[in-house]
Amino acid sequence: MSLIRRDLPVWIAFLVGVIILADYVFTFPGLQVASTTLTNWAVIVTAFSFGIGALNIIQRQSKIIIRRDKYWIYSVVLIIILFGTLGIGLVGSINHPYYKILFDNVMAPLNVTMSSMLAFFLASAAFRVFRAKNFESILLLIAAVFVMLQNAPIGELIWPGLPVIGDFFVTGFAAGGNRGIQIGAAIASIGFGVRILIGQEKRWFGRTE
Amino acid sequence: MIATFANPELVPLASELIKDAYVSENKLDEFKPENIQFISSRQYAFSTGLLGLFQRERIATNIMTGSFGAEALIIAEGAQIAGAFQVAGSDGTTQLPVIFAVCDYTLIGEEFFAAAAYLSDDPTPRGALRGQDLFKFGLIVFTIVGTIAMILGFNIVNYIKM
Repeated sequence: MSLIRRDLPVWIAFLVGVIILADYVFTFPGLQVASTTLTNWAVIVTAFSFGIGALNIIQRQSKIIIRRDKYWIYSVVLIIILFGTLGIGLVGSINHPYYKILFDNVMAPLNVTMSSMLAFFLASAAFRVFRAKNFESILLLIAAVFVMLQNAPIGELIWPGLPVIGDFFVTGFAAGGNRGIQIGAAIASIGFGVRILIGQEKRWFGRTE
Repeated sequence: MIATFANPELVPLASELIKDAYVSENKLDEFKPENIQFISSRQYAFSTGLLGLFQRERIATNIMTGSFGAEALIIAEGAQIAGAFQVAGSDGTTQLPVIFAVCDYTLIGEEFFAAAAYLSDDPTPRGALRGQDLFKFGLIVFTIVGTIAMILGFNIVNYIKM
């Protein structure tokens, strides 16, 4: 149990990680073939995982329908759409006219609707954060006012120095902070990757005991 | 606990992990496999699914971690409207202002990777964190020294090349 559950995943992760990393450093033809093969496997596994995802959705929604849970009718709609789209895609292809109709008239408008709702969510979030309830909020409010006036034409009309201050916030404070966070995250992700490679990080496959 | 994912390959992995967590707490009877949910790999479909879930399940807490795009604001605001306490973490920086504005607590950049070590008693990840902190400290010193050297006219890069 321990071999399959604990040791085997560590060794697989180690071997795959070392081959992929070594391919970046060395130029052995055999290594390149192994690395490309493993990368292709990853693509295939990811493609198959969508089947697992679909299965997960079907299982969950079927239970809701069988139990007649609240809003079960939406689960029926989801299952019909899922199998309908899958059927059209399998019988025809993704270029099938019905598939295109579904995408252009259902998927695309829904995507645009959710995208446009961002404006309302943004206004709501901005209202909450700009109430200046603590020191950080006050700083955020001050920075936001200058950056907004930098981007709005009225800012330069009020005072030509306003866009300069706004630009300083963006290229100075924001860029500096951003780089600091990125460097920290990069170091942490390298550390995390090394821990997985050497088998010191075992939480990703469950219990270590 | 309901766990939702935008990557279907995470579902079996997460299912095992969460089941193990229930086993560790001797509460396996409370584990419900249907609560490990793949919603969609499309960002707006994923966020729409979560908005419905927040309202239906009347969630108390929303913990969102990972790499986010524009959907971060929709998800965080949806949870806020549902009245949930929120903790969010991301290793990227594009959505940090959004989650900082909306969520109660934020894990910024490296904190995202360090969270498990802080919560764990395991000395290995804690030691690794200490090592990372020391490395970062060295990097900061190097940056400051380099900046001062460049201001004073010493091109430090030439000395490193030697």
